[in-house]
Amino acid sequence: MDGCYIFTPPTGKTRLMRHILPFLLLSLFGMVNSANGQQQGILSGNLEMNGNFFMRDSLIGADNTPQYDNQLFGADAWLQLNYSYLGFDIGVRFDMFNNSNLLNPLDSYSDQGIGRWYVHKKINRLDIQGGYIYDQIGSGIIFRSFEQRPLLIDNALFGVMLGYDITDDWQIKAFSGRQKQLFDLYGATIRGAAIDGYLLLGSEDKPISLAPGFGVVSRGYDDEAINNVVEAVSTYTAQDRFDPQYNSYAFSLYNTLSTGGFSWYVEGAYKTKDIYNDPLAERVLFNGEVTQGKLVNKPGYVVYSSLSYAGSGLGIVAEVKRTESFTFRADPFVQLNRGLVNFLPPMTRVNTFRLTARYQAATQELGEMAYQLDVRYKFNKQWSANINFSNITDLNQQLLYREIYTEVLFKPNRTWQILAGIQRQQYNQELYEVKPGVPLLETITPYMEFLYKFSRRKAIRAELQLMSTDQDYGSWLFGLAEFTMAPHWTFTVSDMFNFDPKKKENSGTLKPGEKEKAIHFPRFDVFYTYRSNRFSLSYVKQVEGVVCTGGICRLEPAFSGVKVTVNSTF
Amino acid sequence: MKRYFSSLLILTVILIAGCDEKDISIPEVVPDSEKKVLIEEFTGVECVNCPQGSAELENLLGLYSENLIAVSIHAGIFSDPYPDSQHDFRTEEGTSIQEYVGNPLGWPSAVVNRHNPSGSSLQLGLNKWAGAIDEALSRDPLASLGGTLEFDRSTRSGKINLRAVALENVRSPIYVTVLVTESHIFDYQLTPMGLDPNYEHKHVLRKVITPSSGERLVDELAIGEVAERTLNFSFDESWVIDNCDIVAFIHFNGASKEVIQAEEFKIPN
Repeated sequence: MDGCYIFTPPTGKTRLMRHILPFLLLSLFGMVNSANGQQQGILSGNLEMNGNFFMRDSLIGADNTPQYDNQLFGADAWLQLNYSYLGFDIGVRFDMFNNSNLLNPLDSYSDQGIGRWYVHKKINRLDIQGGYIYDQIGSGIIFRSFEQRPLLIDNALFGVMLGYDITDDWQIKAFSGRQKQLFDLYGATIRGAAIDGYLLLGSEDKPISLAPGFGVVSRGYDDEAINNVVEAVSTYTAQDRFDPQYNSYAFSLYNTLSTGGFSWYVEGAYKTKDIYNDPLAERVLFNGEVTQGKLVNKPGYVVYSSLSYAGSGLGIVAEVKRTESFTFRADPFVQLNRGLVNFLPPMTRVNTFRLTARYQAATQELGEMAYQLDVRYKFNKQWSANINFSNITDLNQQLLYREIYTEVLFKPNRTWQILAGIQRQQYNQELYEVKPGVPLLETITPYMEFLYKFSRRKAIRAELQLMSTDQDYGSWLFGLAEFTMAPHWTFTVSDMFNFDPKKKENSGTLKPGEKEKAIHFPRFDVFYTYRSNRFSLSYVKQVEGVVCTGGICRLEPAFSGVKVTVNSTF
Repeated sequence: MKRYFSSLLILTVILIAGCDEKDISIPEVVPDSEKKVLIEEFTGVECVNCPQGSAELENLLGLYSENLIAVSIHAGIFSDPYPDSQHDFRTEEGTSIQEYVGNPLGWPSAVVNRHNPSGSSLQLGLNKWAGAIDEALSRDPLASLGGTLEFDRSTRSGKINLRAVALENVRSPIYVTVLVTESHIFDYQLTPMGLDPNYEHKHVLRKVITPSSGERLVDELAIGEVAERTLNFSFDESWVIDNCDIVAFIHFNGASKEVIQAEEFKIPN
């Protein structure tokens, strides 16, 4: 595990004021609504809740955290309420974390409070938003405020955003605020603007549409961050020193061209000099020793393009992306998934089967050259196929990730279908998981899924996967059976079996004469759905691995215990 | 369309209007203080990035010289020894100290004077160590700390007499912690270049002579008043005496755990 990311707690007064305001707004709306009793507002909301009962299992590495040692239980919850009335949209969200392992999988985090509130109103062509805002410019390369709950990422912008419809096809927006940091804010200010449009060209029978846009974002560090930078750089030798600045600017120009079955998206982004931590940069210490990792002050850029075609049963998507020094954060000292101002789109297939998704390539914001090709073809009503190829290298052509994924679906009738394929992966574990000296991880994973419908309500689904590799943990076998009784019940039983274990051998921790144990990682799930409510109860033994959500990844330790989830929309 | 882009151009100009910033100069590090700052580095032999932290620690020790005292604590998930390791650097006291000051959110990590004016977590990432040391040095010590050390090499045991003198009125209880560190130990360590069997470990916490969270020295201390404490200790057979140091520091032990003053004692010949 890499990096150092420390969180500043909310200070009493500011936090109190930020959290009282949403209740004042809700009360105000309640009073206005009562006074205008004939016009009814719409109240809606949703609840997401996860409960974890931790059961220590040192054999799989599920131990040595406060949850396994003494807390034994943890819970996370998000309760959102939205209210619409007289063209106003307001909302408030209560967040709760009790002994949570989401923030740091190796530690425990507890806090609760108002995680989000917002007010939104459209007045003719003017769009006004205030509070905690989720939005993005283009594909998010220079700015994206977003939420990924499984990784406890909530990069909402706490500020004001104004939008204006210049015409029906052209919109402009501008915003200013600070990024959310758990229940507090980062010190840096973030402001930006973008214009997005739509143009229809060509003839009526052969139309060509363009959706161009241009955005600019500026991030200004606060005094404390700059003082810390100055103090850190003052300990650098002359060749590593630089003159810091408060502000950095990022620009992005993008366009989608569509004609017939073709669609072509292209985006180019440039960021002016920015202070960030480069963990691989060489640093010369005063004693002459050379070490890795230092603050640097460099500009960066990203070029991203995607070309797709769909028609006659054929679907093709080709993507390419080149990234150089494009980390853009709200604090120069945070790393990994913290303080991200922007979002770089991932360039690999989003795999869903357990073993094909075991090794995933996290986006490399400091340097990456990536391309991907995805082809789907439907031969007839019964047969269809998909082939995907992705290749990622660093800027020195060193291979980081390569995947070839094939899939064939045979669906002879409505009763049953079978899906099968094979995946070949090469994964630079040394870089992605910071495991020095380990060889390029190579896997071959054949898999199949079988679905049989007994009736319109009852179905059984089975999965079988085999991952063959000599590296990391060694080879795996995975089997799953799932029985569904629609619309309420789903039962799942699965096992991930490390039948040829090599973890200790490959990490150099195998003692002389010791034989590694083949380990089972079983899992049992019960899901119950009632209208828009879904409940689950699971017994889980889960191996450590990289968990990615929306292209953002982190290393997760093993889990052993019982999970309870509730998802409810009302 | 021209006017749409021109409107954005105006916005862009507004956004970057202040880009001509005043220059920020980088000062030279010139420690000028009576204060000695304690830095507790949390590390482990399986922590690939920790040698980077240890190198930075040596860099800072070179810069801050006598004003900085380092202790490297091997604790947490990366501290298990390798099968071929000659030493197990983990100690119960080290684990207790890590729990006492709070677990790191990532490695390398260190606690500087058990104080962080800008946050609740005492653990700091590598790039913040220098700033925290500067901040600690910028504040005058509330008390001085001195003492004498006697050591009998034949019995590998010793006695330390500590003397704290208040330089300001201190109205909270003061605690004292005394520990043993050992340097120049060559053993396995995971590094970015791979597993190094001859890595030089320095300032390794070997033992805490007092309780891990400190021993109560005095309830309060008025300016000029003196508090003294004598402690006896012994060395393990496996430690090389000449590579060991005794580190002592006085500190608070309540809501604030801040270190008031620290001192390092060499083993006498």
